Amino acid sequence: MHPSRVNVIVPDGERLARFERAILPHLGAAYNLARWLTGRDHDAEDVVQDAFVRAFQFFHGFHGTDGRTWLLAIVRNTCYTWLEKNRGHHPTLSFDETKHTGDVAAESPEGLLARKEDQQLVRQALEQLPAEFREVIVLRELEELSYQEIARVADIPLGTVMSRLARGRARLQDHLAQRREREANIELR
Amino acid sequence: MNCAELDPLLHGYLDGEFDLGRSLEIECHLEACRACAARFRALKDLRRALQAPELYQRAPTHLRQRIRAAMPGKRRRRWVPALAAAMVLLGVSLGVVLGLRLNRGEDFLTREAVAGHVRSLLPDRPIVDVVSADTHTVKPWFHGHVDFAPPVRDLADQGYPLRGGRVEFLDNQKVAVLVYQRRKHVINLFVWPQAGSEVAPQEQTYQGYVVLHWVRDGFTYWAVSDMSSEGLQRFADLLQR
Repeated sequence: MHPSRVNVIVPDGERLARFERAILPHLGAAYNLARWLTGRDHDAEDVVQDAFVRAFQFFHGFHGTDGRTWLLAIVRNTCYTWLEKNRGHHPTLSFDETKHTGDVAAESPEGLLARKEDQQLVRQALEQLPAEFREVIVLRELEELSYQEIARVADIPLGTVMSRLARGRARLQDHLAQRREREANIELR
Repeated sequence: MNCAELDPLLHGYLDGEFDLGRSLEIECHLEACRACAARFRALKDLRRALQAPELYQRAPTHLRQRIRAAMPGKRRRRWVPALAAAMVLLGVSLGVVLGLRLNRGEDFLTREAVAGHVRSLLPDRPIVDVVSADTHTVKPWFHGHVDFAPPVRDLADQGYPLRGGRVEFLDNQKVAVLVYQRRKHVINLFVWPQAGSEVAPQEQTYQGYVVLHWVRDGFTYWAVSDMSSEGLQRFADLLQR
């Protein structure tokens, strides 16, 4: 962020209005990332609130058009600071139970159950990923950011984005293959 | 390009990060090589699994207001009389924008439209009563539900797919509501007949939501969303064409 050379005094109300227009639309993205990094609904809410307050303080430094990337970098930072302070160096050990939301397409009860069970496996696979892999997967697959944007949010070089994505996906595939085989063996008994 | 060279590139290809030339090279290899094609398919399967809507963590509805309340120098929608008196007594001057710079009638409808939008997002009820992206299904549905025929447009190609429709009461009259989606953002478009001259789209922000209002071809439109102002303006532009 480049410090602004010209000091523009803007009345607070107008600055807040501009902030809300540019940054508040990305509340959803902020919460999704915070929830996947902290593992808890309550903690994610706290972190998102902190992040927005900091974002407003730094808003004078926001000159671009991409509010989402700018905000997510702040959210990510706030998450790690928060985790450091509240969980020490321990990785996130447990995740809140995810509530089921959204419309479910009509399908057979068996199909629905099978899909839900598999979804459970996928969710657990993502939860057990170490944070540095989990965050790039979340930003790429759930938030659909480009490699460039991920690099900016996570503050890592482009090459690191690519290698972490590749390794993260490989880990997910291995984990899922193991779990699915185990589930299949259980059913066969 | 051999398989060993391709393997690390599969990710960039899957993620659309390569230029046309490189992408075509990779595509050629995949068409000819079953092993690499299988690896690519496995990546796509993983992607599909990760794109399950249940995996995207939705912010609780109260979080928005909580964030807005946490912002310094927040605006109030209306004065609390005692507070106002206290402020005057203390001689405090506030550089805060109070209320909305709108005429009374529109002010009320803006609030109604935003309230309707917020209600529609509550998890206890469906957001639409007719679920369809097809205008030929949604438009006739309104026949039995309102006594006018709202214009229904399909903007899926432009990135604003139609989710469906419902009916709602706004200012004690039955209005048609069309629900559109733009990525993770919902747009509620309230429509009802209004005679008189056209009004070009006017934008307001209320409780952090963007509200656009216009009158065209005998209908009045109120669009509400939590997306950016630019996104909603583009939506309105596309509808005007």
